[in-house]
Amino acid sequence: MVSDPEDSELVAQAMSDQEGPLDPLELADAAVSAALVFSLMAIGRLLGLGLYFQLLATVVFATLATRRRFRASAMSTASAAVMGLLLGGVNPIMTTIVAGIFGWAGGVGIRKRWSRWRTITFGAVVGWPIVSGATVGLLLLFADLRQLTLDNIGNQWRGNARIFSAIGLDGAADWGSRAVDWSIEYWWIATPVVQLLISFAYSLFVWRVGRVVSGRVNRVLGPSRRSPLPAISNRPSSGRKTKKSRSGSGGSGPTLPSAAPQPVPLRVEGSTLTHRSGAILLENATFDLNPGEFVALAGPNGVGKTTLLRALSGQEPLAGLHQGVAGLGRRHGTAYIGQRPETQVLGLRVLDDLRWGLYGQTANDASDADSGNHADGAGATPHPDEIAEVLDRVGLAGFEDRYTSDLSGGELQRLALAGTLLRKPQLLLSDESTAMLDPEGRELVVNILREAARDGATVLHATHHESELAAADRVITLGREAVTSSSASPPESSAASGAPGSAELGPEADAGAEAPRQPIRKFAPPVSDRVREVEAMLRRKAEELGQAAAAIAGSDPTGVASPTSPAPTPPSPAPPAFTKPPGPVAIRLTDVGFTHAFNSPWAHESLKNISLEVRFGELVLVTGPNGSGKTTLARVIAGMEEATAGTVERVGGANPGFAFQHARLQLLRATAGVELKALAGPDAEPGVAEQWLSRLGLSPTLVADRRIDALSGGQQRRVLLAGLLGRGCNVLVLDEPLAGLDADGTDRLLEAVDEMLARNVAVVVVSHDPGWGRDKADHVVRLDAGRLVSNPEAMAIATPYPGFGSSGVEQ
Amino acid sequence: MSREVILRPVPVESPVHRLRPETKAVTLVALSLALGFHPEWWLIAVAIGLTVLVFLLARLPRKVIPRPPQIMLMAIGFSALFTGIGGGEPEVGGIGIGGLLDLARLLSIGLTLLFWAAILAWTTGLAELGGGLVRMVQPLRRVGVPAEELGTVLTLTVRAIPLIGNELKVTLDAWSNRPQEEIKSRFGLGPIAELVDVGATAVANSYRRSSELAGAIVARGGVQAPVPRPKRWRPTDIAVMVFAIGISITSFIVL
Repeated sequence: MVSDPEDSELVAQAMSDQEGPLDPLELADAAVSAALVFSLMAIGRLLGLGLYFQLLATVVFATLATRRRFRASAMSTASAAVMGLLLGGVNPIMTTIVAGIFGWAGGVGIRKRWSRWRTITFGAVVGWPIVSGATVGLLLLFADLRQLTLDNIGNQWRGNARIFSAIGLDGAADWGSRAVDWSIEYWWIATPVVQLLISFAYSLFVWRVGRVVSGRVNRVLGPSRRSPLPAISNRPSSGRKTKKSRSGSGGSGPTLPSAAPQPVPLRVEGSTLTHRSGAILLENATFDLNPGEFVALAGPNGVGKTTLLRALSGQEPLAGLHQGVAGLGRRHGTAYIGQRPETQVLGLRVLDDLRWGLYGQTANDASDADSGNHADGAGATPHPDEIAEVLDRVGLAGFEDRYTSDLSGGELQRLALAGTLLRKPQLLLSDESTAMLDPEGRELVVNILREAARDGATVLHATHHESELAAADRVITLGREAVTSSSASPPESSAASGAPGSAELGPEADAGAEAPRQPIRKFAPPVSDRVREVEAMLRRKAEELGQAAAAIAGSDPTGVASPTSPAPTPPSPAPPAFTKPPGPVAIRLTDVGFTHAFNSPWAHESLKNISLEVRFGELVLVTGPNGSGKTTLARVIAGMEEATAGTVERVGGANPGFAFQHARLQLLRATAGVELKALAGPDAEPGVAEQWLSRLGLSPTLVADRRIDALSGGQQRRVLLAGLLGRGCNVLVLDEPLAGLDADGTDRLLEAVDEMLARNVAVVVVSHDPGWGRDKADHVVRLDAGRLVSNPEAMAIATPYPGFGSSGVEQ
Repeated sequence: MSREVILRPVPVESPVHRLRPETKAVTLVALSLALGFHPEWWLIAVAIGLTVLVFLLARLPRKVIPRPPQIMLMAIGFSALFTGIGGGEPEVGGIGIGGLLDLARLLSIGLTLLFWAAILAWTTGLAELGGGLVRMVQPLRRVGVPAEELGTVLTLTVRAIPLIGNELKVTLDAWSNRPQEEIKSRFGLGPIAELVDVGATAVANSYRRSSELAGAIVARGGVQAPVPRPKRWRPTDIAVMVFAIGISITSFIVL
């Protein structure tokens, strides 16, 4: 069942012949593995399931060893072991080290495609002497504690033996007693022998499970070797960017050019980007970038924006790129800021984060200075005044000594921007750095970017947001056919890239899975959508009339609409003639309150006095600024959290399901078909989930064998929804369902929502975009600081945020 | 719920909060060494007394102490049962008081250390602690350990823990919200294929974050994390450390 030869194909790879300190990729993998192990160990201790989670931790280390060299495994183990101190001292430290050793040994066997027995033997031979040597050593050292422990084992066994005797198992008791007594007497033989057996069993486990897990992981992420130049890989190639500032001897790998950075002006002429799978991302791109420009980069997901930015920052080769020295991360060079705030910030405190890179380059011993990598002055540790000034510019004045773990997403992203500004870059690349922020945070970031351009930097900002495109001096739109650059308002031109059904798919996917549909519209909704909406409305109305009788049992006959507003006009975009009657009530919240970590010192009230109704066939939009309790309310509605005050009633057979913001985290199985069945569950009516999937615009037969990671973000979300609907959920709660989707993905998801509404499913959408889904919502619930905003009519229904769709993320 | 509050500092002002993280960590290590060398009642009593004293000094509300997991209580219960039946001098009415006392010693050592570690976490933010640990490994460079590199990995580990922990939490959440049949198989009883899938998903998702982190490191143009500036050494820090190390050495040499 576990063996999966296909998965192990990618595992065996030529490890890079790197020597010396870890490069950034290795560092990050080592650290993330250690963090994962630490988290697993912590959860294990908390749940009292230490052994189970120790096994999982071992698999993590094995996976690391299939991807990275020994040094990374050693560093990761050491780091996790030091952190283990926090989990209660010696025992977790030992456990972590044991997991690290056996994990590494198993990983090596898996990577080198050794046979099962060779791998297991290797693991036992490497692990056993260390483990039993250390154990015997510690037992010798702590003689009193050893005696106490052995006495205790003896006592416990005698208790067991007496029970055995009492129930007539004298033989077992007798035999066991002899074995235990002998083991206690000769503990220095018994301990290593038992540990040898355990070592083999442990190694067997690592081989069996580690092989499959690491195979899957490596297949999802691609092999870890450096990508052979000049092929383009979607992943950072380790060799190209080793900033071995401290490895004087690391001459074999490419080193940074020592010339002064001169990233702009640059020209891209007839360039073509190819994904490593062979798919063409971008063809015949031609554009210029000049100093002081604020340029937006648009184009659907998967078109190669990220790859292009990586090329411009000097991390990937690109034929047809005419540029001086990019000088990524160096002063007056190229600066880069990515999407997810939490991963942009590296230091533990604001000051340390700002010094990262700049500080490290000077703090080394003088013997390394001869490498000359940073002779251009990037090495100067920034002056405190300079840091204060930059922090002031991004609105974080006085934050120097704050811990970065206490900052919000928007603050983190601005801190990352401060890090880039500190380098006074000539070229500032932003890879959708606003995509995870709420409207307010987005505006702040865009303003900072614009200001940087005013100060002379060339800013290239990739984004899906129409308002941000409009704010740029110029927009470069990537499409499959060509790259267009326009100084006017751009979006229409991008329609050229919209080959039917192709834009949303990731590079590894093909167009077949999508049900046929009309050509994609981009930013201007054509008339056909209007028609479709009216159609949906009519359909919905007809169904409602049919179903009203059946479901009316639990409904409120007066039809007071949710939330508590006396009689709001449905803000639906339908023509006035079709004013919709309210559907039957599905979930009713009365005076609901919720306190996180209830009855603990961390108790924190996040909802108070919430009363609202969710009705079948209606869309409720829960909106409000970050931290207002939107997601908590959604979880309470979905029954994932129990309200700590008030009542939550489910009426008329309501069966809620919850779709997390990051669909990928919720899809646990390997392929879409298996996942769909797992989500629907064993009691589901067969075929219903598949039926839903095709209603939501994906062909079940074509998607069934597709790996989850080969699906685009929007497709993943639709698989998730179909699975939940297949389970029989008729109230779906979606947390920021449009986050990170491009225009086409947005359209398809909104169509899916229409389809669900038309079939009388109640939909609750959580979003910080008050104009979510182009005002599809029947009711808008606005939260502020955990309370309903008292006057719902005054809500911003009529003035939606100018941004296209939404792609914010809470936190 | 308890999953949310693990390793979270309680935001109150206290002398214990003001100690340097190194002090607290060294004290924990010293205490565990002392108890390892000399697991006698009087020393255990001293350790428990110290722990309670520190707990009170830290002004931690009693509510921070989580309920122990049932599986742990059950394990302790069974151990006590077998030990009691098994005997050990002195015996009273067929119950081995001596054996039970031995078990009690072992358990109280384990729980005291666990509690001490918990106090460490309750009074020190993870980031502050991480900084302390980074500083603590620096002297290792004298024995040939690439301490700067280890410091960098540690720093990134501490940065990544909330991120990864959150992703794990969502994964576990999603898992426990699956239909019933699958939940039964959660702890290793069910089809291994599913466990493998879930594990692979969690690991793969974590490594995705890892490549983002790597991108950020590259963008900084350098791999080495600066060693965080320490808090000032204060007399209390020195006093506490001397005391803890003193106990440890005494228990090893004198006793």
